[in-house]
Amino acid sequence: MRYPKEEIEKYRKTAGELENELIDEYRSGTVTRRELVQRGSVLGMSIPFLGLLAGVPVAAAAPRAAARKTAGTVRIGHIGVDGSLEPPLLQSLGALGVSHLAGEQLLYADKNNVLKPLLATSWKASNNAKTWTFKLRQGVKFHEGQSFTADDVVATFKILRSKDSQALQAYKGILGGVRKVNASTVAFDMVKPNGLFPYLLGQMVYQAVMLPKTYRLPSDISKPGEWTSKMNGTGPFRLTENRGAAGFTFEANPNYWGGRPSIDTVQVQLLDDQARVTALQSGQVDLATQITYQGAQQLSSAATVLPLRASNHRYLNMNVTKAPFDDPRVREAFALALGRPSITQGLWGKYGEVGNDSPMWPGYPYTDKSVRQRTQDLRRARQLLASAGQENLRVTLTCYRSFEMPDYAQRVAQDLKKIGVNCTVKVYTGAQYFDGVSFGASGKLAPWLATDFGIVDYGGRPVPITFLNAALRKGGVWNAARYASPQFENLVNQFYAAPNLSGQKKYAGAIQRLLLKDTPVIYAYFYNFIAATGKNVKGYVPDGMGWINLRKVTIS
Amino acid sequence: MSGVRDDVPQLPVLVDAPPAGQPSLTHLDSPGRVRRETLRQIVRSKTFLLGAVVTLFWLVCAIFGYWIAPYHPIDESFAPSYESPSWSHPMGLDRVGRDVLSRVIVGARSVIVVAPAAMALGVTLGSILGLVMGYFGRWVDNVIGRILDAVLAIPLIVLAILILTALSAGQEGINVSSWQLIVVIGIAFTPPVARTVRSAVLAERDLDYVQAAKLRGERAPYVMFAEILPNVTGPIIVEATVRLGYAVFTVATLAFLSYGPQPPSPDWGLQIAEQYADISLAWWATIFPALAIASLVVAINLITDTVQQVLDE
Amino acid sequence: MLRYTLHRIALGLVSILILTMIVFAAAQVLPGNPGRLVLGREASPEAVEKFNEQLGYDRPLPVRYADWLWGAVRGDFGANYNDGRPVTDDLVPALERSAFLAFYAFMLCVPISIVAGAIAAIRRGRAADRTITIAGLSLAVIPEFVVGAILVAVLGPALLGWFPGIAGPLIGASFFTKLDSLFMPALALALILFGYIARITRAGMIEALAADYTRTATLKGLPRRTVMTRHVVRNGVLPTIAVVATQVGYMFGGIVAIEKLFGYPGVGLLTLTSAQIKNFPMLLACVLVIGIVYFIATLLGDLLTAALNPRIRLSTAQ
Repeated sequence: MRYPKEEIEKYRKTAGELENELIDEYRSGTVTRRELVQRGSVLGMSIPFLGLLAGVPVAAAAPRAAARKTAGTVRIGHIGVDGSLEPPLLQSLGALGVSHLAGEQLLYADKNNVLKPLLATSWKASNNAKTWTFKLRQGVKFHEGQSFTADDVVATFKILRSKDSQALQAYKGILGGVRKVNASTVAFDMVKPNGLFPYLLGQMVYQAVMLPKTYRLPSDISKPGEWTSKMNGTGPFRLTENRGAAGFTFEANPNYWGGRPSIDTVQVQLLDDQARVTALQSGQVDLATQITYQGAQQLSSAATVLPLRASNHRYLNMNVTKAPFDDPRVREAFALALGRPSITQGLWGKYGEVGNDSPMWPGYPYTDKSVRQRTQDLRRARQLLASAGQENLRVTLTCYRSFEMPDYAQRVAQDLKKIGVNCTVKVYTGAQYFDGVSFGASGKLAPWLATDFGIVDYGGRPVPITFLNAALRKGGVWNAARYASPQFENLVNQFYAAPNLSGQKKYAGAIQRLLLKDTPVIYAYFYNFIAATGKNVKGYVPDGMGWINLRKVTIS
Repeated sequence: MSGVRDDVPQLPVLVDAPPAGQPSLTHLDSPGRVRRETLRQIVRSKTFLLGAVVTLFWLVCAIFGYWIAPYHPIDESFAPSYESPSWSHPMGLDRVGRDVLSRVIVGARSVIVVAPAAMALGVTLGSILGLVMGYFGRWVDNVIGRILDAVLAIPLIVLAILILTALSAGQEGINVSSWQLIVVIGIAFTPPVARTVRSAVLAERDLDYVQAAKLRGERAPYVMFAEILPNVTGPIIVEATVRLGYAVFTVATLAFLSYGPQPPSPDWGLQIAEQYADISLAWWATIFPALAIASLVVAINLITDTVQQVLDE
Repeated sequence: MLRYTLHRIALGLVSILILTMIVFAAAQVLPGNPGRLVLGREASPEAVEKFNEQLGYDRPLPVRYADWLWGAVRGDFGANYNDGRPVTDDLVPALERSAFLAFYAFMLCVPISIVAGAIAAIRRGRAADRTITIAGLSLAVIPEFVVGAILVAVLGPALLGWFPGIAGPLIGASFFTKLDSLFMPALALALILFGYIARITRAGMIEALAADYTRTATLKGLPRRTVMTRHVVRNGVLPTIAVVATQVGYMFGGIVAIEKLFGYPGVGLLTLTSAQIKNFPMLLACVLVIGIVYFIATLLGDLLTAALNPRIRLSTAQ
């Protein structure tokens, strides 16, 4: 392969250690082209430059509005909005979808997990990834006319890291402080070196929408605040009407920094799973978010189904501190009982991929694919149960009524029956399952965390930080498995601090093997995030977190 | 009044009245013979036979379902997901790959356990209340009547939802046991039964035998239950058969609204609730449990109708 | 007549008052934890407690009841637990949707059933009569959602594909789209009332056919058609209309299951969802509104019946 040497060598002289290492890795063949672009984007290397390195042209960086050929209204069939719309208080993907039409983050991860600039134009790690410095876009204005500057970023992060913020957990132990360097530069200081930090400024921490420095949270956080009625952000659409459960209307922001969007009006309707499908079929909406597998099958001819391969999965925890799950043989036996290919096929068809009891999704560049896939082995499972003295086991599996989860629970119960375990299924409604607090807070623990054997859903993330920190680490707020392993803690720290991809691969592989051995959680499958549009919509790219990016969308 | 929605407090005269001037058999014969004659009339009716056969079929399914069903309704999956009807699975496979035929057969149980018990409770409570209202009349009748009116103004299903939700107040979520269903539906059936019995009692109250008993110095409970009750059994039996149909109706509807058995139960209403959304992919998973419910309520209604016609004559 | 009307209205008001007490009492045990529901899974217990206090859960029951009742009289049902917006924001559009559906169902049902009932009466005892009576009776006892599901399986996307199986909220939908999307739920409701209304028409017609005035008219030598339209239909159908009015109330309750089946967010579905998440103010408002609609409809129906039939009027008013 040939490289335009001069330019690259010039870059290498000014670039930091991390960037140079990545270039070496790519040249030696340990990193694929796709991984190079993904990893390079995190380090803030520009997309055109990465294209140069990789020897292919890569799409231009900033999401430019499409040439203004057509105008019109896009009607979106969206999932329900639970909880607050105020960005720092966002806690549902439904609310995310709405608030992010008017608000923007510093950057975003595209469907290939490549980081792309939004309100930041470039970023760079220094001090071995202990400090990340971000250059801000110039000439950006909020909907109400104020200019966007470093002061707004600092003020926003002050709120994001305050007690009421839903983003508090995401930054805890990672982000040490946020400093204004000058009017257009901001520095983020890490607690410990972290090579993946920029991802935490994108959709993964969707609360981090940039707000004007005058923004205040509502004094009673259960009440709607100033954002809910005005949505004074920098985004491509301005809120014109908030009708609550009856929907929202937005209009194009003529002063948008990326140019006026080609869509004039956005109407958001909040619809149930099946209603979104039907509304799309009958032409009542042009775009629907979060489609189930059955919905996608029904839509195959009437609409454009847009699956996005992502790390979405179901977390099936076993409480490792309590009998019978305190015995690793029981946990392994349960994991061995599942007929994963059949379960995955039945629940998600071609939109699913089999999991291997770790959140290290095969699509991550650092996931070690050489780790052996766990398969159904009923004989071994029965032996394990026998040796654990748990032959006539009775357990209750909990889940809540959403998507395919009740079906999954029933499939698990069937497979457990085959190894002599009597498994009862208990299905909650969403409101019930999440009624309570997370680990670490005082109060009644929510049923989805209090359960000893339960299923919960995790939306796709471009990096597994949430999956590891919140769901598996000792003291993690969502660690329903109560897993606490010093060896695991150690490996995760090393994984985060690994300066290059081969290091990350090494520790990811070690994490995968450890989780297979300990099996605190069964990860039976990953599934695609599915969106769908009418045939009249062009240019829509779905996002695994439910972010609705209409910047390049046109409608005819 | 069979087949007529019960939430209507006062109906104008609807049913064909027996032609005036023809004395009915009842007054001419001994009670025992009349009963036998009535029974024979009922059993000879074709509609009754049809209804009885179908009801009996579901009763057998409810009791022996697990032995009759070709496969296990819960534990066995034969494919990853839906499959259309075939020779080995005449009603196809459901979303989890289970045999729909087996699930329809075993699914009879949850309805057939709850409905008759709820009916019995409702008829018992309603009869007592109706006797009290009719016998005492005046302010007792008025006060209870107003309360019943208020309760009747809430449609049956809404009333049941309200009480069942209230009953699971302290718990996570809504957990509905068979006992709760029986009690709640029984209570919800009390007002309409009470109204029917009350009007029957009003017709008896001023008859000689009641006056005689009163003059003898019998106490009110004795007059109500030993004297009047045997003479209003006709309307009560009709009411009971009508209520049985409604009990099945109500139990199935509540199960559909997820106030009832939970997955993986093969309950009919629950099956429809879980798979209706996929009807364009797999009509068989919805239509067979739906037909099962329809056949049972229609069968019970045929029985009701015959019983009512014969008792009216 | 005036006295009878006032009497009925007074009785209705008393019943509504009792209804509010029953509903309020039932709802007292309801709220699992409103504060938690609103503040989300990561809120502190202190915040939750403070929130519950603000809702006034520390005041005595009769005070809260009086407060709520006074609000309800002025059309203020309080704020719902979900997002703190007034209950009426969601209740009013839901009511409109249910009203539209119920009206649609009546428009489908009434003409068909009256004609069918009239045919059954004229052909009394023959095959047509038996078919109509048995079909009507059977349809009337099958749960709405079962009728709906069977209809959709046949006419819906699975086989014929004529109508959609899910309606959804139909926000901003054209009138035609509404008619199309709601045809199946409306038909399901209509079929259930069909048997009932047809039966009443049949009974009314039979009575009218046997009445003296009909006999007189026939003996006078009037043509059969004239007798039918002038005497029998008028005297037989009017009571039916009165009874139909009482069914409006039934419709409002019976649509819970139909609205759930078709995902149509009317009052029925709102009642169900607010019960399931234990959203107390919303549930209370829904049940109360359904009860009031029921009372008004029944009252109108009864008054109409009384106006048509002096016997009832006199006997009840004493």
